[in-house]
Order: sequence, then C-alpha cells, then structure tokens
Amino acid sequence: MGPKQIRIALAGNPNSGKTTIFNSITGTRQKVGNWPGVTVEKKEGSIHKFGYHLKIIDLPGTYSLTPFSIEEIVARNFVLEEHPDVVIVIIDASNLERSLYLATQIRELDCKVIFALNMQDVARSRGIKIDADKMSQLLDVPVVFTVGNKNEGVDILLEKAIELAESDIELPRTRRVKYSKDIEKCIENFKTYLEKTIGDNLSYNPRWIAIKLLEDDKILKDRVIEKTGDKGSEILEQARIHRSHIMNIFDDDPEITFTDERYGFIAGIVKEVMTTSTMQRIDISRNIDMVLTNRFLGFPIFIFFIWAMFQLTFTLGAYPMEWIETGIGMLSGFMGARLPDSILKDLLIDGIIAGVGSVIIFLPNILILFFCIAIFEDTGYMSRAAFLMDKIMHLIGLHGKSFIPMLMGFGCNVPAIMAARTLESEKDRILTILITPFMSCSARLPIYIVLAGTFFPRRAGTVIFSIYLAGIVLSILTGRLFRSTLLRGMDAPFVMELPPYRIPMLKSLMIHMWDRSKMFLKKMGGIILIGSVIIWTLSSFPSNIEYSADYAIKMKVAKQTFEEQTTLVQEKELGQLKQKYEEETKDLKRKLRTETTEKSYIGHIGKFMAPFFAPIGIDWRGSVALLTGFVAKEIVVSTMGVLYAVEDDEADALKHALRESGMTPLSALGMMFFVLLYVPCLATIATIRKETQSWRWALFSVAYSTLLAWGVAFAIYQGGMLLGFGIA
Amino acid sequence: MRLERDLPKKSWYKTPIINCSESNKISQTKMDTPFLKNTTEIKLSELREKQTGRIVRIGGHGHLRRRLLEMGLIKGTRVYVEKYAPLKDPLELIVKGYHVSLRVEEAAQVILDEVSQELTDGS
Repeated sequence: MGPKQIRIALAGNPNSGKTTIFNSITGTRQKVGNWPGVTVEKKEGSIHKFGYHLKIIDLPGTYSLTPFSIEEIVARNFVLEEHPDVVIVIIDASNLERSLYLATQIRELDCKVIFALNMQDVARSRGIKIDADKMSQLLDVPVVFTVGNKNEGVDILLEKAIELAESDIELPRTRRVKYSKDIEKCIENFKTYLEKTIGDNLSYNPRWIAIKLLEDDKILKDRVIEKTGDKGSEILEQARIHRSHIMNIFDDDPEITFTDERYGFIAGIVKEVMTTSTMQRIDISRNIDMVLTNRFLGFPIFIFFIWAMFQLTFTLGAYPMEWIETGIGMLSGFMGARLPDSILKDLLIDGIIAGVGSVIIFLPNILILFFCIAIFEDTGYMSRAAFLMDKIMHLIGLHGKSFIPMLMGFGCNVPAIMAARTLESEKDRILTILITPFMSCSARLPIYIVLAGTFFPRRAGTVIFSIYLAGIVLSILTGRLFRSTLLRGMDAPFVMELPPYRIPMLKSLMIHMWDRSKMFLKKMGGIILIGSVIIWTLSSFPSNIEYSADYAIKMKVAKQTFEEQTTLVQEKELGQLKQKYEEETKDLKRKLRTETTEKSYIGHIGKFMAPFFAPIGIDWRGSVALLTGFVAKEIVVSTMGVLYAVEDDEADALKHALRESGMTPLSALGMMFFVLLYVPCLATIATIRKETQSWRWALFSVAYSTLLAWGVAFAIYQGGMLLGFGIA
Repeated sequence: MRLERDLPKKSWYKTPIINCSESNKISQTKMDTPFLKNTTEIKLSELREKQTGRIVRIGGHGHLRRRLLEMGLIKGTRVYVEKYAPLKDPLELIVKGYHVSLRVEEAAQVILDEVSQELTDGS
C-alpha cells in the first residue's frame, strides 16, 4: 500500500489569495477541468509531503455559501457530499469581517476546518493586528498565518491540516456560531423535530439542516423531499411555521435575520481579536484608482490598454503564426515528397495537416491573449474595466466584463469566446458567447476586400465599415432579444469587489496562460480533426468522376505540340511559345480542379443547396464557397478562386471573373452580410460547445446565426431588387 | 496627501450629482449643514462622491438583498462613496475597509441616515 491519501479542500473569498496558496502548494502539478455539469473551473493538484499523499482541491472563490450562484453550489456540495478530510478556509487578514462570513458558514457545515490568515503583511501595513491564538480559542479552530505570494507558512498549514485530518476530534464541535436567544430556541425546537422525523435519511448535521430550512434554502428543500418521501411536505410545513414565527419576532425574512446575526457574531469575534492602530497610511491602490478610474482619464487609459492587448495579440502573434505556417508547409512538403501517392497521403496532407494546421495557427494568439487577460485579472484591473464599461454593456443586458470578449471577437472569435470565462454568471456568459460571433473576425476581412473591391471599388472602405457596424448593431439587438426571451430572468446583482491592486506573480501568470492554451489544444484538436476529415472527404470524393474531357490526354497533347513547335521555331519566338504553353496547361489544370470540385460531394451539396441560396442572389458556386467557409472563413476566397476559375495568385482575375459571373453589387452586398453573420467556423463552434458545455447551445448558435444571415441577406437582396438596385 | 484632502471640498461644490428632483431637495437641505449629523433618510444612490452614511435598511428582495447583506452591507454599517464611474454608473463604495461597486439601481435599495461629508474614508 502506498502512502495514505488525505483530501484537502481550499475555500475562500475571491481575491483572498486562495489561488496563490494553491499554486504555491501544488506548483505546476495541477489538473484543470470543469466541475461536473457546470462551466466552473475545477483545479486539483496532488503532492507527496510528510509521508502523505495530499490531494488539494481548489473550491471556487465565493463570498458566501448561499446557493445562489453556481460557484456557491459547487463549493457547498463538495464539502457536503464529497467529505474532504480537511477544509482550509483562506481568510484575507486585511478583510477580516467579510472573510469570516464565509468561514463561519463553512464552520456550520461541521467538517474539519482550519483557518489560514493570509496576507498578514498587507494587513500589518494597514495597521491591523490579529490575535490568532484568541481567534483559534474563540472559534475552536486551528489558525495559521500565511503569506501566499512569499510561500510563508504554507508548510505549517499543511502540517496542521494533516494533524487535524488524523486526529479524531469530535464533530460537531461545541463552540459554534451563536444566534440570539429567540432564534436559538427556534433552531433547537426545529432540530429536535427533525431528528425525530428524518432520522438517518439525511447524512447532514441536523442543526445545519434546521438552520438552512429556516433560511428557506431551495436546494436543501428539494433534497429533503427527495430523501424523506411522504414526510417531506410535512417537514417543509413545519419549517414554514417556524419561519413565520421568526418573521413575527424580527419583522423581516428569516434569512435576512440570520445574515444579520451572523455578522453580529462576527463583529463580536473581530472586536476581540483585531486591533487597528490609527496609523496614517498611504493607500497605493486608491491612488492608482484616482488615475485609472478617473472621470476623464479612465476611458482613454482603458482604451489604450485594450489597444495594446490587441496589438500584442495580433501583431506580435503574427510572427510565430508565420513560423507555424512555414512549419506546416514544410511538414506537408516533406510528407508529400516521402510518402507514396495514395488516398491516405491525400487525407493526411490535404485533410488532416491542412485542417488542424489552420487551427493550430491560432495558438500564438491564444497564448498572448490569455497572458494579457491573466495580467488584467491578477493585477485587479479586470474589475476596474468592468466598473468603467458596465453602464454601456448593461444597455444590452450584459455585465461590464462582457466587453473584453466582444472586442476580442474582432480579432478571432475562438479566443474571444474563451475569454468569456471571466464572467461569473452563467447567463451572462452564454449570452456573450452567442453574440460574440457577430463581431467580424479578421478571417472574414479578405472576403469583404474581394467582394467590396470588385463591386464597390470607389466606396469599398465605407461598405466594409458598415458591415462591421452592422455586426455590432445586430449583436446588440440579439443581446436584447435573448435577454428578454431565452435567457430571461433577473440580472445577477452587479455587486462586485474592487480588490486592491497587486503585482502579479509570473508563475501564476504562466500557469493561467498554459492552462487555457492546453485546453484549447486538447479539445480543439479532436473536433477540428474530425471536421477536417469530413470536409476533405466531401470535397475529394467520389474519386471516379466522369470528366467532360480527358484532361490528362489534353495535357499530353499540349505538351507534345509545344515540343514539336519548339524544334520548328527560332530562338526569338521561343519565349512567346513557352508562355502560350504555360497558359494552356494552367487553364487545363484549372478546368480540372473546377470540375473536380463541381462533381465532388461538396459540389453536389452546393448544387442541392442552390435553391436555398437563390433567393439571396448567390449561385451554386457561391454556395460551395460558403459551405467550405464552414471550416474556416479564410477558405472562402480560395474556393471562389477555384470555382470562378482563376489562379490563386491573380486577385484581379478573380474580380474580373466575379463581375462576369452575373453577380451584381446587390448580391455581393447580400453575400458579405451573409459572411458576416453565418456560422463563424468549425473552431468557433467547437469552442462554443466547449465553453457552454452543451451541444445544444452550439447548434442553437449555428441555427440562429445561419437563419439570421439568410434573413438579412434576403432582405437586402429582395429589398434592393424591389427598389431597383438589382442591375449591375 | 494634501491633494487628497483638498479634493473632497472641490468635488463637493463643483460636481453635484443629482439623480432626480426629489433628491435635489434633500441635497439642498444638506448643502446648508454639510458637516452636521443628518437624520433624514436617503438612498445610497443619492449620495455624492466623498459622502458617507449609515445603513438603516436594505430594500429590494431576493437575490440582490441577500447578496448586499452578505457583502457586509448590513444595518448600522457606515459606507463611504469613493466615486462614481465616468458614466455615472456604477458607483464605488468603501465598506468594512474594502472597495465594492454597485449599480445605481442597486444602490437605490440601500437606505442611509446620518449622512455627512468626510475628509478621509469611511473606515
């Protein structure tokens, strides 16, 4: 048998330094995933220390255990259902009162608890002194001082935790949170009643059940009904009677009275253990905020930071992107030269390497972006950004923090949707994810450039700008629509802490960045791989196409003619002849490619879909181009190049061919709007699926955006036709 | 530090934040006696920057009310309005020694009395 395993859960307020302590205990040996069924990040780490195998679980940072937010439910359920051996509550020493609110709630759960008084250094600099021994004595809980970012006290904390886990102290403990006489009486009465009726049906502490039922705890009420069957309604009725009793005495909802009394109890403790000297302090954080959230400077500085982040992500990221591109090119070149010709080779090079390569290229963007976001979060600037932007975002029914993902969307939707993780409320997060794809990403720009450049040569800039603008307007409308229908319900309270500014630790920034990127690589890899194979299959099969002409023979004939002629003509005309020959072969190759695409499955699908696209003025070739754009928008232009029969490197030729093809400025405009709005790309869908934890939202997003795209394009095309703009 | 001490007075006279006509009236009375303890009840959202008050009760219901209480905005606690965001919403408070921001509509649920002007923060 190996060493004994002890499971330790870390609980604490957001910004209490919990993550720092978690990082300094586990280092890089951590596993990041999601709590089952929800999008709350779950972090775990394992280490061997003092002869034990310690498994550390980082609970979501919360201010309370009232089951209102998912984070709180997750944290509470873990302690209740998974029975960790010890719960370490991280207490921000400079914020004692509020930290103790959560701490006392955890105490009430009756598990083995140890308090870590963290950031004692900050507290001391503010003239706050805390008597740990007294606190330990008053609350009957071991208390350890720690300074997470200096790794102080962490070993002692772990030692104490192990000691506690191995001790057989009696639970429940005698010293507990005490309420006023009337309430205690009520709790006692109800508890005695519960002990009689429930018996062993619920494994929780009866006093806790009594308190929570008096607080009208919805989750526990459901639990009681589920576990006690027929007696459930009787128990709840008793709870109601006791609740109205408390309500009569205090003239307020019992849950409010309980909160008040808990804070009252805490105030008593704080008075005993904390002394503040009236030291004149200079609050650096406040001074920074005098500038960063200043009435006049706040916005310009914010815009500058965002601009800098954008620049770093997409400009600096462009270099490694290029290297990766070259690397992929070399890899497929190498494979092409080494492997024998076969379907497998085509699949590997044109399907897998090309498909996965087109996504892996975003890795530098994602690394840099998440590094920047980690800086914003770890310094505390993120909440200031939300503070500045909330008024504007609230108009769409969103939280101030939604601004960053939406803005990032203009670069690339994939990291943008991942950035929505910073939103705590699930509804806000889903809404942000659903509207972010309407932010026109950089991959869509080449399509606009070609179409607008061709059909609106003199006003291309204005046209492209108005398309971007239309994306923003539609995202606002969509936001309002969904907020009032699908994602209705009370806005989560904005109430947000503005934590003191802190200097971020490089280690935590790196961990932060790597976690997210790893997830991107792992999950994207799978879905993109499958998607690329499907698209490749559709565009390269059936392989036995009946061509309208035998291109191989035609090529041979052309070559023969050329060779024959070279022997006949003189030196002077040779160049001319060679050019003619090259053009001929190029033309043949292009025709071959066109026909291959046309007769492949995707071509068939395109033709099949043609009636769907006809009302918006897009022919079958446009449909195929748009279908291939499903993989990545960049492909649309190159597909159009193939289908409208031009070589890749001849941009002007494509313009010419487009004009020849019967497309009008009106249908081009419709197509641009369609490109703006329809399904972003495979990677985005995969990200939506990943971030919302449901295929339903991903498919919903696909359906909604495609329908909207079609509707808007239809309105533009048909409306324009009615108004007589349909003539080229 | 001197700059900080001077600021409140400036903002007191230069930047009155008026939310509605009713608050205007209340503010007028306070203008006359800015440094006296005021027993008039007033919404937190009607306070101006650098003002402080004592919480009498929290209105509203459900989630928001509970959340405000849990963040330490309970009866008898003093709150200090650090600043309003550049777009006048949300606002930043100091309560129990930490900074928290609320939307104006949320702050309207917090009823205060003993409103006064303070030169230092509310802690």
